[in-house]
Amino acid sequence: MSLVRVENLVKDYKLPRKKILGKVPVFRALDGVNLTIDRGESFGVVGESGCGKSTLARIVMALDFPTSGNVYYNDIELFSASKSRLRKLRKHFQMVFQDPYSSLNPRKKIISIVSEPLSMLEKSISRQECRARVESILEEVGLKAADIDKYPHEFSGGQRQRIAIARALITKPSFIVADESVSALDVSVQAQVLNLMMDLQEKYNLAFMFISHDLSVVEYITQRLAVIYLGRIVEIGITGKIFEKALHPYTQLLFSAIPDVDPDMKKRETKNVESIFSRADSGCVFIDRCPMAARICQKEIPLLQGEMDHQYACHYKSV
Amino acid sequence: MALLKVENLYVTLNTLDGPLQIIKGVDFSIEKGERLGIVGESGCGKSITSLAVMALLPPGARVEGEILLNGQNINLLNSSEMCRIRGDKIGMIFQEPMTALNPVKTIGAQVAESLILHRKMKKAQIRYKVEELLKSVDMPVKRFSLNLYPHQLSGGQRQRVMIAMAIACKPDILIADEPTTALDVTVQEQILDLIKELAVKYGMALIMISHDLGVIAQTTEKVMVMYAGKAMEQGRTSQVFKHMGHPYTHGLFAAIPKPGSSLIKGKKRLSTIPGSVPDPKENIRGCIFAPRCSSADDICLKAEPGRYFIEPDHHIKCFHPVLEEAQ
Repeated sequence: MSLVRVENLVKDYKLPRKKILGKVPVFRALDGVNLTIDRGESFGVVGESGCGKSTLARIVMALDFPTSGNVYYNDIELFSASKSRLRKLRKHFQMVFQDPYSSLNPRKKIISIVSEPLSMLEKSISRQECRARVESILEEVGLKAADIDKYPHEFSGGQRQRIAIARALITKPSFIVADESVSALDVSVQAQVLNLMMDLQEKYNLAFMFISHDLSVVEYITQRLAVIYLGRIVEIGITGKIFEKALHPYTQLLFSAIPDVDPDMKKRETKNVESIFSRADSGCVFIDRCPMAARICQKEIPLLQGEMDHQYACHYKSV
Repeated sequence: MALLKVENLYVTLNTLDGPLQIIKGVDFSIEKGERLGIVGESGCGKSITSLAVMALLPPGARVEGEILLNGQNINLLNSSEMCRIRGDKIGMIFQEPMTALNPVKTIGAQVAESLILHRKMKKAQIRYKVEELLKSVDMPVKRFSLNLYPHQLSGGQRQRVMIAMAIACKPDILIADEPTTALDVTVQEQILDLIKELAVKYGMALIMISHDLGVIAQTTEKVMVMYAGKAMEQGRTSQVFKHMGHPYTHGLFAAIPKPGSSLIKGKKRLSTIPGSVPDPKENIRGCIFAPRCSSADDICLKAEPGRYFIEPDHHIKCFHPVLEEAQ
């Protein structure tokens, strides 16, 4: 049984009305997303900005409601659970945000930042016990127990992200969503934080949903991967298989765009093509940028096809 | 004679904690049509170096050393003389097109600005020239009117407008300070291709500043690796990226996840550089990288390393070069 299951998730955001009393236009940020994450697995989500990665994270964390569809945590429906039930569930899933400078309250000490989830979700805990747990978790993430009474500004970016990880781990969750958690860090520090996340994952058998635009980081840290384009999963499967041979034209475009660190590696000429087709609600989302778009792509939405451990949504059988 | 030669550049900024030396002795030179990359982590002084060349540092900043443009020390010029060089001889593309463009002026007016200032053209000529410039950055007037405002454009399109502004007067040097950090990879690829293409087409020298080693590898011929206000390693890009000698450069390369890592079975760890970038307030004696360096010994803590030449045009500042082949 999978730990987290996302079923047919659709999220519409309302846009401002164009005419008074006219129809409220909606923007579909997620369009029928299905995925599962197992216990102890790290799952990657990649895509360009505006593709719905963060919307997915917010809904999986029950910070926002979906328009339709549901998220199951250990087979419990999140969005039909009662408020108090949901609150009890929250200690099992936590989140690490992108920017360690804005995600920590500058006016609070580390102890109150890190212990906040604990005091909200496990109210019975005593102050001594709370302090002891914060101290031990700080050591766990590579900080000193003495750092407990400091303020966030006394730490560097990498250390702040460690504090954010400590805050996520304090309730002993089994699932963590990391939304671009290392993209604000420098390479040398990024490596330290990635190593830490992998160590903690192994130690506590954590499941990770790792959202990033940096493909080499995702390749490094995840076991399975979903590529999202405009709210739809276009390719999903084992990370190694996707990186070995990307099957969807969008994934191929994305991969070929990463600048290689080897100066002698001249990249292939893959210019962004402008297809003659324009996007229609009834067709493939990638049609207006796809080099191989055909008439069927405008008429039918391609469904995920392929083997269980590597699926892609394209009308072409092999690309 | 080199087009731009920077010698012994020291920059001191006025901060709330008093004056802080941010750049601690940087030398580099760039020939006509050459492409130089400056790479380093945040806070290493790569942007400050470029701002010092442009004389765009905040008030109170002190710049010491020589910045020779065609043999003329532009560090000695007053602000009105500098105005004649900025935009005309040296163009700059800034990091965030969102904040670098003026939100209340049309894109046409912004591209025309440096033409009006430096070229004293007639109105009709300017209009023609602006249309031509926007066409050269793939924003033809047929689809993008000159009367558009920056908020009506996407990030990539805004960066194209920035590029059109920077190349309006065909400068000798184009400085691009992290031009693609705010953009998606597919757009980044287009923008980098465009910058490189234009630099080659107009024979402009390019200074590309980035923290992304891949961006530097794909766009430059020469590279300077900076750390905490000093140049650690300099040389031809292909040389430095394949046969690096400085322990810091080694550390930087080892810390990035390599493509193909998903195919390796078993437990994998990234190698890291312990600690973090030193605070500019700290006064480190000897080699500035020594506190984080695995090959540092007594001499590194006492004396500052001079240049060590690996090849005639590839040098590092280190007592203990790490000279094995890069993987």
